[in-house]
Amino acid sequence: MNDGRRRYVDLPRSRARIDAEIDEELHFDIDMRTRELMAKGLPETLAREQALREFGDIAATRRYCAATDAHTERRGRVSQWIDELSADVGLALRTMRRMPGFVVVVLLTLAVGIGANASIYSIVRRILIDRLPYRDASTLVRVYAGVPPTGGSEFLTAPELRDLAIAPAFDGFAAFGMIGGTTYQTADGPTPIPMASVTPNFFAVLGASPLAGRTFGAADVAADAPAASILSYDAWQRVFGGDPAIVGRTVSFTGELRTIVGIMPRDFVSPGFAADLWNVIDVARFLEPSRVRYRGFRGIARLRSGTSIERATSQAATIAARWRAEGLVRPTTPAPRIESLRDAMVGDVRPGLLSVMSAAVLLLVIACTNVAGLFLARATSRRREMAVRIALGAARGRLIRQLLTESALYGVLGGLMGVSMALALNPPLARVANAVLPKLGDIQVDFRLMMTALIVSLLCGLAFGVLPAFSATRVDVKEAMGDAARGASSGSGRVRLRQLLVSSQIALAVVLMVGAGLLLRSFSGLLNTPLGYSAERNVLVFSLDAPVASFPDTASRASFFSAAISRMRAIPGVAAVGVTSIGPWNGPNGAKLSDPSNNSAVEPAPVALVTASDGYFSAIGTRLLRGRAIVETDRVGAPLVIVLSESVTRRLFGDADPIGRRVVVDLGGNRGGQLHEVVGVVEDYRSRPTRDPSPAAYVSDWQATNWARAQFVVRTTADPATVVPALRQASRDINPSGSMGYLRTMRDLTRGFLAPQQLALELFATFAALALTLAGLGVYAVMSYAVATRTREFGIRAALGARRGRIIALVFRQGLSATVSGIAIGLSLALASARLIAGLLFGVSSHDVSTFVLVPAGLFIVMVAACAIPARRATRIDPVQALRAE
Amino acid sequence: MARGSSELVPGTVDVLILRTLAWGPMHGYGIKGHVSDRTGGTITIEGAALYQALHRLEKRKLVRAWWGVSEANRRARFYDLTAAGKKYLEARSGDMREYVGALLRVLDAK
Repeated sequence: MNDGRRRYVDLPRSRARIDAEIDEELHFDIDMRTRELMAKGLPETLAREQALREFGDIAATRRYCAATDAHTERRGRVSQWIDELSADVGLALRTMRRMPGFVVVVLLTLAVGIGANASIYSIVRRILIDRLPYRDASTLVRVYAGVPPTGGSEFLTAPELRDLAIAPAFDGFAAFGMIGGTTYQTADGPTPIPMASVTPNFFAVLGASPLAGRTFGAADVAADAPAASILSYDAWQRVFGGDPAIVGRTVSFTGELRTIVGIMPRDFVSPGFAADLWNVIDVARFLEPSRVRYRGFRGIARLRSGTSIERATSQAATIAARWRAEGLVRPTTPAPRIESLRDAMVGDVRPGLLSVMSAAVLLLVIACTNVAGLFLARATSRRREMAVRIALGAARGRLIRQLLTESALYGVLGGLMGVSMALALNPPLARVANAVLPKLGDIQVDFRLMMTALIVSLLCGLAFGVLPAFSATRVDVKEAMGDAARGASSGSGRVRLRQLLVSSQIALAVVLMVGAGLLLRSFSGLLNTPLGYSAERNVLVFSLDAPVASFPDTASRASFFSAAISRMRAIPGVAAVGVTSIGPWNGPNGAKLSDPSNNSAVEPAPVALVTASDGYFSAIGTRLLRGRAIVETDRVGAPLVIVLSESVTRRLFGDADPIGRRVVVDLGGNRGGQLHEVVGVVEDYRSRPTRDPSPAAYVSDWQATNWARAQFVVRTTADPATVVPALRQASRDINPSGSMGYLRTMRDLTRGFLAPQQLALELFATFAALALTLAGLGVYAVMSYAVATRTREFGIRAALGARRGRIIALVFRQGLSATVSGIAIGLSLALASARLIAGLLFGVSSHDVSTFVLVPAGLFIVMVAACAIPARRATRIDPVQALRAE
Repeated sequence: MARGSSELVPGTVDVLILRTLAWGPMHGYGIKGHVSDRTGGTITIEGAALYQALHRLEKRKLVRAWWGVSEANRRARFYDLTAAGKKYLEARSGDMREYVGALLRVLDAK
């Protein structure tokens, strides 16, 4: 009899087995009773009959027991599975404790891969995958004016808006424009608030409801209605301290009185433009003859349900044909362009984000490959352990399961570390992303994302565990346990597999490094792109307001700004001060120039029209090429003057001397058609390093209608930080209630242009550096292992008189052959995939030769270094010891 | 007078089995004989009731079972009390004593 200590359930029993066992058990009972009755003298048949009768319903018992046992069995199997799993996990943990170095390398490698992916995916999800934060966002579109081949603005005019709004494709058509900023005087001084003007139906078209108060209605544009505005949640908190009584109050912004009628909720996102204050605007007022040509509106519309963008576009084309026939637009002007709101808001950043996401995925693949290589190397050294266990009767399936449990455990632990890494990186990353990318809501690592990351990590663990697990358990017991196991080279198949893993890591690292290299070349090119103005730290820009309330007319505003300029010029350390209406960095303010003497043989030239005061060019650093700059005497009453940029000059006058010629400045508004005398020529400028140079024209600030706000440009000889207090004092002296806004150095301002490129570059560079490190570690690990297993061989070679050089060459040949093939594969992959980041590159071909040469060269050097340590170790092998060790 | 298990108070068979196994591991036939012997033949458990109860107790983890070799040198299924079975037996025998005591007080009332 057994001792009763056996396990409750040994092996899972099949249904047939259960039935057979019950039969046997019941038969045993009947037989015993039969025998007992026979001993009392009954003949066998009668004894059996009586035994059966005494037993009761044997068929029902059989059925009952079978059903009960099946249930027991199922539960037993689950508990057995849990028992085995916890045994495997326990064994894995004990194994891990024995080799902390290995564990740290594996977990860090995985954590880096998972952490990078979770971080980037948290951004990608918010911007590219989650729905836009509007009702039925997929039916929202942006509508742009067609731009004629000669250039022009994508903004719409009021008549165009009026005609497009009644197209049947649209179920609501709103417009916005006049994007700019204002200030509000708080206790801490004036606070800048970005603002924009929107049509009364703007919020209704988006399907957005206010947090407090109301959104705009038709009554807000009635002739006698007060100027109505809506605040963003952010501005409500930041500027008004979250005071709920603000709704309904009339507030003064830069001397302009506006009534706050509502506050938008926290998650409301301004669709594609920054605004914390939305003012209502009546587009109908722009149908007056004097303003009818004002091209400053951007259209946002909701498609009628079931209407496609194509259908809306074709209706817009029909309308545009009528405009051409009526002479409202040029004959060459194409139809308005319609684009989904999502594309309009995130289309620019999609390629960059997807590239960075792909880079993160590549990094994860490299990490997994690296870990697989490490596992494989370890599997080889565990062959003896496996052989012992197989010899002791362990099933191979069971061993594989145990090894997979171990790698899954690595996967889960690595995933947990990766998720913590992503959580730690989230705040800084979200800050950077919000500054660079369209703001669509909080970028966060939430529970769903964490779970996804953990599952991905677990799958990675299983994926890299499968090969080593099968490889480790494919053991010839006799061979592995015999002497041959010690020091003999491991199977050539396994060596080839490890070399393959190393090669693929190197190949993927090459792809990432080429990507980073191309972005770096592009970025450094952009940094050195001449902008046509200074990008230095010692040039300060800021805005200064001459509120309409205090300075009601052009003359008073001009004298205010004039006084400010002369006061600031007097400050020690200031080299030049100038004023402009709109800095070149703000993008073009469209106008058209024509040469009246030319009888329209040349099409009017579209230019960015900028106003400039005396001193502006020297302050901003735009070079004067011919003639003179704007001077102080170019005032109202004096002849109207204009300074052209070189490409406009060429366009209008060819190589002829433009100085003294006259041009007509057509602003498309009420100031159209005035003749200006050309007094100078300056260089072109780029509003962004990534854009082509803009043709520009500068009129005297003193001869233009002065706006209530001017942009000041101050060039300093001293450290700008030391000059700022004096500048502030000067502005307060002239107007105690006004203050400098948006103060920045030109270096910060121009660096900001490149923030998206910089972010993409930094992420790519980080991933590439990690990839290179991992690949280097991979090569090092494989070579160290190879040297360790070839100790005897190297010992014999040394004993037979092989020179050190020969042994070093042996090691390098093995390591570098994997490197060379990896580089070759990587370069062809990089050639094929570089096109994917072509959209992120400026001034660099996606097949840039120097990148494709330098990257492999650099990588090769790192790999040589990774081989050098094992190679040195190989030459140090003492032949006597190596042979004795056997 | 012999009584079949069908005439017993519900739950009695379980307690009888567990109490018998408290002496040591036994197969089904042995349990039946033991109960019959101890009660002088007053209580006999039918095979059908016995084996259904044994398998039910096994499912509830109150007993565990394994295949062993009987005194007659035949393969037989043996049963043994688990720790949970011991605890259950103690609780149920207390209940039963109380029940029988109450029953007797009614029956013996003068």
